[in-house]
Amino acid sequence: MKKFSSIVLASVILVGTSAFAAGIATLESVKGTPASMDASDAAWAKAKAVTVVLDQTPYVPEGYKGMLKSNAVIQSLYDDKNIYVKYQYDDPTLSVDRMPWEKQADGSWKQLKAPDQTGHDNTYYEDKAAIYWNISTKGFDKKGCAVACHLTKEGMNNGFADSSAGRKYTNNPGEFLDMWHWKGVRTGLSFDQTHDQFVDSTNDPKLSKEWGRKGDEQTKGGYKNNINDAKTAPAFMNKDAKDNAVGSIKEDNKVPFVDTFKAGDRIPGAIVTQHDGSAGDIATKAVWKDGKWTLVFKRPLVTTHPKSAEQDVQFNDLKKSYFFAVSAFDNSQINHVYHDGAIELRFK
Amino acid sequence: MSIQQLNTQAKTAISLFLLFVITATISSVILLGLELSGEKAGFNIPTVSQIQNKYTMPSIVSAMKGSMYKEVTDDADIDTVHNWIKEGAKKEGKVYDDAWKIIQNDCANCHSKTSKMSRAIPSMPFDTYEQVLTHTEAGYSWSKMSKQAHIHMFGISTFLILISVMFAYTTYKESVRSVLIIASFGGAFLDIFSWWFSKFIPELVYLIFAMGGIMVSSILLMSVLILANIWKKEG
Repeated sequence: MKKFSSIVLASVILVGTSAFAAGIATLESVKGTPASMDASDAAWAKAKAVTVVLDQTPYVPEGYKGMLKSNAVIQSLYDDKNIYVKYQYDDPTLSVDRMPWEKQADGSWKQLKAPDQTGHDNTYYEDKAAIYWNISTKGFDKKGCAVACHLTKEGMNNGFADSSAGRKYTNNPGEFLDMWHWKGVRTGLSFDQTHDQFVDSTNDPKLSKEWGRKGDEQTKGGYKNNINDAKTAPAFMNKDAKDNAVGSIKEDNKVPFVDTFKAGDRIPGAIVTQHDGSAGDIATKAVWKDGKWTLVFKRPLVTTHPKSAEQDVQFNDLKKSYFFAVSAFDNSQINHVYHDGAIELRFK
Repeated sequence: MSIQQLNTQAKTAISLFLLFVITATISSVILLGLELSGEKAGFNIPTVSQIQNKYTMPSIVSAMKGSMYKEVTDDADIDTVHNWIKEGAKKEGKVYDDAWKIIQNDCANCHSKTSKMSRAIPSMPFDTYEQVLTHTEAGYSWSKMSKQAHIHMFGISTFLILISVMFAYTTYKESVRSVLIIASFGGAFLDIFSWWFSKFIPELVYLIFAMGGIMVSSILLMSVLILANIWKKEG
């Protein structure tokens, strides 16, 4: 009856129909091994690209001057051991100043910060990007990242007072997402590495101050604020000032801060260490050029850390579909552009 | 007298008006299809079950099955919310806890007075139980129906009288003219009548489907026939 009625109505209104399927995009990962992590490697020529518009944002930071829309182009390759993902997206500005110290005219030092209404910085920050992979979260394949997005309303999130714009956590115990969180200034440009994180259902800040968003297991790695005990100036600086270009100080390159600088000079605000263990699974080569970031990710198809099952998506069945979603952070701590729904990855 | 006797300028004006009417009518069907199907693009002919959802179910359930379906984490969640409403939409018990969690997870990020998301709908907040309760009544409420009915009836009748009078002065058979004029007004009236009463008599959704189809097709048919007739040389 339903079908018949539809046909009748279609006929009488004298209009041809053209249904558009609004399905999610499908990315084919094709077999191939890039000779290098360079985005221009010849192996990428055979990988089909999927284009996704990132035009959603979770909130509007006060005075935000970053991008509200970006176009993402994604490709993938795989071989017997690894998966490779090339993620290129528009970002008109290169941002590698993450809360740097700046010498003032009166000789003092000031750590540059401009927190928005939620206490997060969108001015003196870094470019970031993230890929979420579904491990075991109901609804992700349909809704994408939104399934784990819980906005704070009138200062409350899940019954707890919270000043952030929102929190990431899955809706039920036992649901996990793998988060490939590329942080430009921190381990991104310094170590060509993405911080491998994951999301679980922790929805109580007393249990975890980052709620459901957590780093994979590691024995070392990450960053700390470059600040002296008196909190008046940086504690360290780069041995070679040329290294300031990536906006951070590697632990191995740091030397005690000696003030021989002039007003306006800047010292990086973060001291960084390479992640090891599960948190360091993902090698990433990133290049910003002509208003675009191009990131090439490489991760073993299967990881074998003690908690890999809940912290890492496992590409252990190449006949299966894997669902993921991408986002981009333009000089922004938590505000990001993302897309509706999830993208399906299939191995070919 | 026939419309063929009008001067060229009047014929031109009528022809352009009818092209507007045809475009507007097709647009309204496209809009209805998008709203009922939850699709983002294309010409989606509404199905009886989609119409049934819209006019007989609580609006929040109807939305979860239709335009907001893409926001629903799991199909079973729609049944959970519907069951809560069927059991009286009380602010107590497990069924309320389950439904409230679903509404907060799937709806309230955008449906919040304070939401700053790209698709925020602060004008329709789901922040409190009382706010959600206003969307649990089955079908159209008296308030919504009165609003929808008067807007549609004033609007449709205004252009329908113009088209009908033009059509009445074409050179088609008297019976054809009478049938199409009555069908267009009758279809519109019974369509709107059924919006209201299908919440009490669910079978009336078939009348919505049929009368909506008759109204749309008779408007389009009259418009096309007038266009075909008006530029003919007088016999």
